[in-house]
Amino acid sequence: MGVALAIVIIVIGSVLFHLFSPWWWTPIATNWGFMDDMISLTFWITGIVYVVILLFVAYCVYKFQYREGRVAAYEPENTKLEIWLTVLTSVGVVALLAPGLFVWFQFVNVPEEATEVEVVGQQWFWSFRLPGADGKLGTADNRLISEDNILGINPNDPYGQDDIIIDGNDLHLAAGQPVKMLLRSVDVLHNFYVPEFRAKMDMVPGMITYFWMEPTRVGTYDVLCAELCGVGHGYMGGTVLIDTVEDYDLWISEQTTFAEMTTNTGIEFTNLVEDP
Amino acid sequence: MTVVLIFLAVVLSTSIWWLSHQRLGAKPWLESGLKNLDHGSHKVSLPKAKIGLLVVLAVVGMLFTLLFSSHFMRQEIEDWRSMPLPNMLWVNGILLLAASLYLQSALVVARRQATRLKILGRGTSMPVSIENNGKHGNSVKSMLINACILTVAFLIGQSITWYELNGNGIFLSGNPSSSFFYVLTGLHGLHIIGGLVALFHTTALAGSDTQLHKIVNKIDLCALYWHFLFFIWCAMIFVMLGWTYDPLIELCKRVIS
Amino acid sequence: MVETENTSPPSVPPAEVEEVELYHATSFWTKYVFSQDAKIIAIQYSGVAIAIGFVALVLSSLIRLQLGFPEMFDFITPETYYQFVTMHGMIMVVYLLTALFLGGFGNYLIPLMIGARDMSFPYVNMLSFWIYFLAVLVLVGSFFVPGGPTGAGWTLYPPQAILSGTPGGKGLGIILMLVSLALFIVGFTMGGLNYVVTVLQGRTRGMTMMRLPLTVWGIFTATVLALLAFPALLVATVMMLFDRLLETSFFMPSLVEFGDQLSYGGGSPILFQHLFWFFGHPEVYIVALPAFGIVSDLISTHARKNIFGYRMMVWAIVGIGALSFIVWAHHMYVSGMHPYFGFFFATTTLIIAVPTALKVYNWILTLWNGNIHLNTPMLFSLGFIVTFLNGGLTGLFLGNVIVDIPLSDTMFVVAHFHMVMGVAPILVVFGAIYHWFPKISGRMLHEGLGKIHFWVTFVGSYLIFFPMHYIGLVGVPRRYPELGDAAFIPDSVATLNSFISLAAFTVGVAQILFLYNVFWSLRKGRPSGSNPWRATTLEWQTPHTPPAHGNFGPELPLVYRWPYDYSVPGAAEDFLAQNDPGSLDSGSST
Repeated sequence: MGVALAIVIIVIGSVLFHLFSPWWWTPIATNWGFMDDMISLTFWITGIVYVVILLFVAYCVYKFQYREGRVAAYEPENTKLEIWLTVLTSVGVVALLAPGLFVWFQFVNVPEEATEVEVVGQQWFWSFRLPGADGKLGTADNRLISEDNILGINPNDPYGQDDIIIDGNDLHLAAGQPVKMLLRSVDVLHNFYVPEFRAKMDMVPGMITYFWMEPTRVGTYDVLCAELCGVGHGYMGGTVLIDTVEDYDLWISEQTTFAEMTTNTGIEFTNLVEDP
Repeated sequence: MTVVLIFLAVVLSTSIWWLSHQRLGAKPWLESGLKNLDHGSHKVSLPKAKIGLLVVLAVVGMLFTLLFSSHFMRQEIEDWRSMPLPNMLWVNGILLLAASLYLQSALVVARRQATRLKILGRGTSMPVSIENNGKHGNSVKSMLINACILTVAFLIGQSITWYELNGNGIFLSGNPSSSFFYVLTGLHGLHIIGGLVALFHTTALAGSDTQLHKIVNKIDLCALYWHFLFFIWCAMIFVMLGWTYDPLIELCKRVIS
Repeated sequence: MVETENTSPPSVPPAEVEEVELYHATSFWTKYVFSQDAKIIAIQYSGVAIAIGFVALVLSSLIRLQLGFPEMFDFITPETYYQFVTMHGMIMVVYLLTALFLGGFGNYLIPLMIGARDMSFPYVNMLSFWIYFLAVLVLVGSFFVPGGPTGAGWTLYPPQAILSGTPGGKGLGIILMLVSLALFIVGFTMGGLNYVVTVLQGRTRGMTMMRLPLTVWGIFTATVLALLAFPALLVATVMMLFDRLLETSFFMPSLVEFGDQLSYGGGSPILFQHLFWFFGHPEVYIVALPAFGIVSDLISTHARKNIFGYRMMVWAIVGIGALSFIVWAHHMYVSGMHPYFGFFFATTTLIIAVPTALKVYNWILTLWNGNIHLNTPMLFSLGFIVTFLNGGLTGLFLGNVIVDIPLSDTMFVVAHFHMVMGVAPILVVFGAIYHWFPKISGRMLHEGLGKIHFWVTFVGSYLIFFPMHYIGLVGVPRRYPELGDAAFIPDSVATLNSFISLAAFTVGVAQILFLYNVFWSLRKGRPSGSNPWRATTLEWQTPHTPPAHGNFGPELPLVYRWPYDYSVPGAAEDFLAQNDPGSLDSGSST
């Protein structure tokens, strides 16, 4: 009796906790509402299974608890029941998988009109690069990194000259404009993580990884690192702002390009590089 | 990871093939008693040492195929410069093959000997010295000794290869192709050394009074291990040689065109 | 310990089984220290595993101290925090669970359950333990070297694992970790070889594969997985050691560390992740499958009912084992690998949910119409069902690639895997210890203490890990020593963290109760007799309790039936032992 009751309490407690928990996801700021829907769907399906199975266990424990003289049934298997259970489970699994893969297909296919934004991670801060007027990012390589060229941009690549470099400042994105976030790392693995964006991806040195999204909600958001990157991992913060298109255009006109930076040999800029 | 998955598929399908002969569809609760149990028999008919060795070979095979897979994945990255394989390797390969063949013929001769003794009614359980049985014993022993010498020669040959490569400025920490070369050949060499311990032991036994069937089994194990390591060695060369397209050449071609 | 004799005389014809040449130890050293008897080796393995497990338990308390009460303890810096996290994870997964299930339970139960006198290669078995012991010593040694142990996370991802930004990365910490892992793998391979060959070759007459208890099926399949999966970790370990010591570039791309160009170039960090998870995912099942097997036997025995759908259970174990090799990259959905892999691995991962779900159904259908004894082993089994079901269902979130994207690397993941491969298997371990302790020692563990231990451990663990999912849902990343001042994290998360920490300390302290129970019962426990649970499997039918050297007296048992003949209609007792020819033995049916 006590054990069955305990299981029932666990079930009810879990459900109530779920319903009344103040801990829930942050309001979304991108087009990936599908991901939230998928989480909700998964919660529904798994939640029902959880409750049904545990209540069944509680009932069994209550009903078939040891009594002197009771003889357990002898029932090695029940093929029909097992087939039914297999089919039912498979249906549940398909119900989760099919929409999931459908959304994943959207996630991996970047729309044509997406503009590129590069995020560069290093221990333990973020830098950003936007394509300039030509709309294209120049190539870059970690081997080109020096005090004058902290992001390792290829100086011979004409596309790179007008790239806008944001170092030590916040990134701005325009609402309603799909962006392809190109992710690059200077040293170790990082992960560009903004909870409100839902999407995230590791950044791997030697590779360019990406994800895409369409910012929808104007606001200021915290950037965190979500892949262990050394002792500073928990403190690798940053800020990203989603602006209206007008604000964004204003902001971008105030930024300096790679060409301007290198010709200036700007003093402020070299100061930002940590001493080796 | 394709190579690994292929190897894994072979191992797993062998296991599942064996399992499928274990009457997995039987309803054991309907079959009490000892009847019907000796047919479709429930045991592997090989000696346990041989099963043990086969398991070890599966593990060793896994180890090497994983390295091969890593090799393939790594060589797709642009900085890969394939290294020229030293010619000495071919000599070493022949040495290892010869050792493998010697073990095989030692096995054949020892087996024939064992069968003959069985037919003569002397049984295999009686302690019979191979040496006491004339030239067969001698030839088994000398074949084993030859296999030992050839294997040691193989190891020396591999060391010379390493030494020469080092002399030519190809180090472990150079291009990844050379790193892989040293790691692969090094691991292979370690496995050979491990096998040599068993082979020395077997060779020593071949000279003293011992039960014939035991020594046959031991030679059997050594031969199997040597064949396997020779096979791995060939696969290794194939991996290091077979895909040696040079990105530099590719680049030159592109520049010219 | 108390010795009892089983009085029923063997009334069966001698078994036609190739006898193992047993090594008869004579001195204290060869009998109890460098022992070749699988039962002694099992106890050695378990003892070392549980001892190092307590170290990991203390580490987890330190982690919870920091998370629950940040900035209150000066000795926990980010460096030490990461070291605690790393060592806690690595010890629990590899040195405790793998070693305990396979080295401990495997060694004790395989020979006894299949009717063998010992493992096939006792000497190799002994070596296996001592190499494992050496691996543990090297691991412990890394706590005492300058710079301390590695803090790279248990996944040891390069490049950070061997760089100076990570604790132990440029010191000895990471080197000792890698060496210890390599030793563990070598030692384990020796043991695993034994378990496989013994199951294949050492079964007594009548013990067909389809008459094996599910415990043996679970351990056997897990061992096969481990033998095939651990080489991947070995390869990764060796290559990383070369990267660290000899500056090769297997995993190291060209990178700039704090303004310095390093000499590495071109290596692939993703390659390491593939190798690691090619080992790492089967590893989950290496821990889970023995737990599945053991819990099946516990439930069946204590519900006095045959396991429901035995054939399905066997097929599911084999199927899960085979499938577990093609799901590894679901740990890498956000790693930057080619996104099209996501389709494949999400599909395989969710397919594996089907046989797993069937196992859960079969456990609870075994309870249906049973005669359930709610003793400690049964309670732990029920606790396992609850936590495993919970962890399995949250696995459906993380296995489905698109749902994993927002949740990966958050506390949701931490809660999920602790529930499914931390709490659930540990509950089985405890249940198994309460179940088999009478066979090992001849005495029962104290039931009352056992029940208190169960309730505190089970409810406490649930209170730790169930709410933790919701911290992850908020978006709190894992491996953060403190929450920081990110705006999206409400203050209430800190309160919840303190609550979780208090629950964790309670669970931690309750384990002392368990240790006390073990040591008290060893000397003062109620003598158990040879078969206190009235179980059918062969280990309970040994002539001596604890089983003597050679396990079965002069004759090996003959096996007449499957291991789940409980409450057979028409039988005099509510169980028929596997070696019981039975009055109804007609050779066809019962």
